[in-house]
Amino acid sequence: MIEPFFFDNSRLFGCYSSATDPNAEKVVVVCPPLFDEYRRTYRALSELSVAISERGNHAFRFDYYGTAESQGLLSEATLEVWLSDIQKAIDEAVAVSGANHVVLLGVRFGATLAAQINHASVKEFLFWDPVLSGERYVEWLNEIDAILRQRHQSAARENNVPFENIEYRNFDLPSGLVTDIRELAIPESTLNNPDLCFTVSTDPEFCKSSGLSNCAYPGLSYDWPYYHDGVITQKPVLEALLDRVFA
Amino acid sequence: MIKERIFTYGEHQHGIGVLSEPEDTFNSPIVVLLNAGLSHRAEPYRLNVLLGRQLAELGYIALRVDLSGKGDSPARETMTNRESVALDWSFMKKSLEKLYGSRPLLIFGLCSGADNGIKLCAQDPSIKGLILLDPVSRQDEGFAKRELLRKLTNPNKWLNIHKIVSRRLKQNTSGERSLLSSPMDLRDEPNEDDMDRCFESLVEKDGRVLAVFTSQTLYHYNKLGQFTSAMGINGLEPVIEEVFWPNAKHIFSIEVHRQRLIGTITDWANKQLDHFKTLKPE
Repeated sequence: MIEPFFFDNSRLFGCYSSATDPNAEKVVVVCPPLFDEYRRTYRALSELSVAISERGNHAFRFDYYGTAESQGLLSEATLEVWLSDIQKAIDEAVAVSGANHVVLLGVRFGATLAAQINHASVKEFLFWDPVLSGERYVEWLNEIDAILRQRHQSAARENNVPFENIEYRNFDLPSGLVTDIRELAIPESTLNNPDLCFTVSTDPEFCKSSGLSNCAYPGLSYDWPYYHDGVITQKPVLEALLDRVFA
Repeated sequence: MIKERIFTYGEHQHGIGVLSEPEDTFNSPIVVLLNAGLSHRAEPYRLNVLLGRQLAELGYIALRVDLSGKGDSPARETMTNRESVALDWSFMKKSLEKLYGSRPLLIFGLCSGADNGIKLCAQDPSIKGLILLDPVSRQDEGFAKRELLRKLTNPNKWLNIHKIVSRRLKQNTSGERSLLSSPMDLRDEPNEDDMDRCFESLVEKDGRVLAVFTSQTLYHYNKLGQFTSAMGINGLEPVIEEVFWPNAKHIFSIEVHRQRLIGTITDWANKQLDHFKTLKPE
């Protein structure tokens, strides 16, 4: 069961999935990925939250300010605001669930944001394909724009229609936000700490190359750095995340 | 100043949506924004959220909603897509009527959302308007000729003729065929009867339609005005406004295209608002 509502004076949108176990002490707060990755993972994260609640813990998802169902425009968003949104989402999740043990689940750049959070209730971090470097992430966003431009150009050629001279950008991001994203990274002290953090990576080399012991490869790969329209429903990844929540 | 609130519908109120309301909802028509393909109600690229809020600013009540099995709404396992969408729609209407009474309804849909809009409109007299992005279109008499001309006058085709021929030969000799010969194979599109019923009824109801066609539809739509003429329904012309953007991609992945789309829809909706207000709900 999903209970949607607005919180923080109707500024932010959240979805709460209440635990079937009345004595549940854990609440998983999901920090979603950004931009097109959110569209592709939305259903997976919704199903994951329901599965968490059915197996006996609470789950809470929310949208950052200026994204999805929350208020505001992306042009008004800053990293400072988004980090504050995570803090508010944690407070809301604790208040609504009554649980005092928060697992902060970060997906892609949501993991990078989550890793900055210092909140007394957060006892564990769980990351799904975390973006380790904001610098690399911005490069990747630029690659998406280049791919989109190239695809529109070849479609125009193929379809025999004039190519439009416009800005081929997936999202028009404010320059301040881009600068802030570039500077963000996941602290190694968080990522490497097996008592605090666990990573599920769809990159088969990641766990080995990063030397992390607190890391799992769920047996399938996903090509994040490649723009396409598909919606992601990766059962093995969701199972790996669930296993960790209930470990 | 618009207001937003949660909307629920269905057997156990498990179906989820968000309403954007104008300050004064008296007499406001309702636009229901359906899911595009498998994307959740806000998408693609937050289009439904931004458009819903703009429509509310104009004076419409806008509902973006997850059909069963999409976004945050649980799936129904034992029904066909058509049955499940029809049942969702009847529940949604009940919930909307409880909130606002009977109102003229419009449906906005991209891709499968457009397909669902046409199928629902064919059955429901209270649907007075459609905003369709990449709906199916019948081909008119000139379609094949225009398509041939487009190919023959395409320098890219001539420059790469050897590659095209070689690819075709390879496909023919290997017996390989794409599992999906056209993007329409992914869709549960309306049948001929749905199309006739929907658009004939819109003429009778004095409804209004905005239909936007992108590069995705070039294999069945290649001229502005084709949709209306190919339907061959008397009196349809003043009902439908067509827009043809062969440069835009199906899910409007470019911000500039999305802004253009939102501007076009809100201009159309603004122009039609008083007309929708004069129509009887049923």
